[in-house]
Amino acid sequence: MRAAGRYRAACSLHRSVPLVSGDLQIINRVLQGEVECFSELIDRYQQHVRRIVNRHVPSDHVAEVAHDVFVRAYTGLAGFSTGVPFEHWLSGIAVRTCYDFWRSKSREDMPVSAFTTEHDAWVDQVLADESDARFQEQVRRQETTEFLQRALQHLSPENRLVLTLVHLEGHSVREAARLLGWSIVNVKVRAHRARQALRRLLRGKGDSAS
Amino acid sequence: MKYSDDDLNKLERLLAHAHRARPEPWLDAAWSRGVMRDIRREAANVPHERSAWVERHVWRTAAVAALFAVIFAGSALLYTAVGGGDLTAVLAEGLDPAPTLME
Repeated sequence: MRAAGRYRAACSLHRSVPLVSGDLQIINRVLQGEVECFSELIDRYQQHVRRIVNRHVPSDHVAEVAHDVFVRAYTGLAGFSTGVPFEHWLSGIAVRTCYDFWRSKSREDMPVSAFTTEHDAWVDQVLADESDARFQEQVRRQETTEFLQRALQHLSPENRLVLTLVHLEGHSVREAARLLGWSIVNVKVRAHRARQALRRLLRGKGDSAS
Repeated sequence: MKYSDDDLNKLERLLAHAHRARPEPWLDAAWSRGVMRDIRREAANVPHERSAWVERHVWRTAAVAALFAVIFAGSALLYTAVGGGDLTAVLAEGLDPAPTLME
């Protein structure tokens, strides 16, 4: 433990240097066997990873998936290229870990919750509201979040990830492709299909074969 | 029930706003300790991380050293040729068989 504390103290000296060069120094030290230095990277990027993961997996799984992201980052650190900022590299790992989370869930044959008449009533109410204030109020309502989660449940892990990145978060197709490690054409096609699937769901056709 | 494109756009916009407004759960110090515990375990199980790094640098150093050796040898050869006269003569001298005792 004392050794761990010493390493941590040594790594914390890098807080005063610019972020990117500090990251590279820490990464080099970790790769040379100073494992404890990795905790500095966790401190620096915990919030960033948590934000990404929170947008892709249910709240009660965020800690578990973010944990996996950092373990994966550590095991893949030797493959980190200095040509990209560490934050971008880590973002890709975070998104792909979320994708793997949904793939494992789909293999577990999770039950898909159907939309109820209450949801239909909620949609009608949303469409009837005209004012911006009412719109903002709806954004914060539990029903909205629940409806979104149910809609996403009906999509395949691939379509779910692409829809979330491109349509809900506003990433460009190119950015989404970089984060997922897929081709731009693949992401473009999936983004189109995923949006069509969502619109079919919203229309009430309940297409689950997406 | 059929919705118009405007209705669907409005619903999509609402869902996108709701998605971005999700509250973020807090990750505490115990979570960080748990991650580091697993990383130490990984480090103990996979000791080749460091050797891979060392191996990569050894190969790079060897390649640079070989390049310098070639440059040095070439420079030395040129210097000898210029200092001693004709390069071909130097090379020919080196290739000529040694006189035998028969002559």
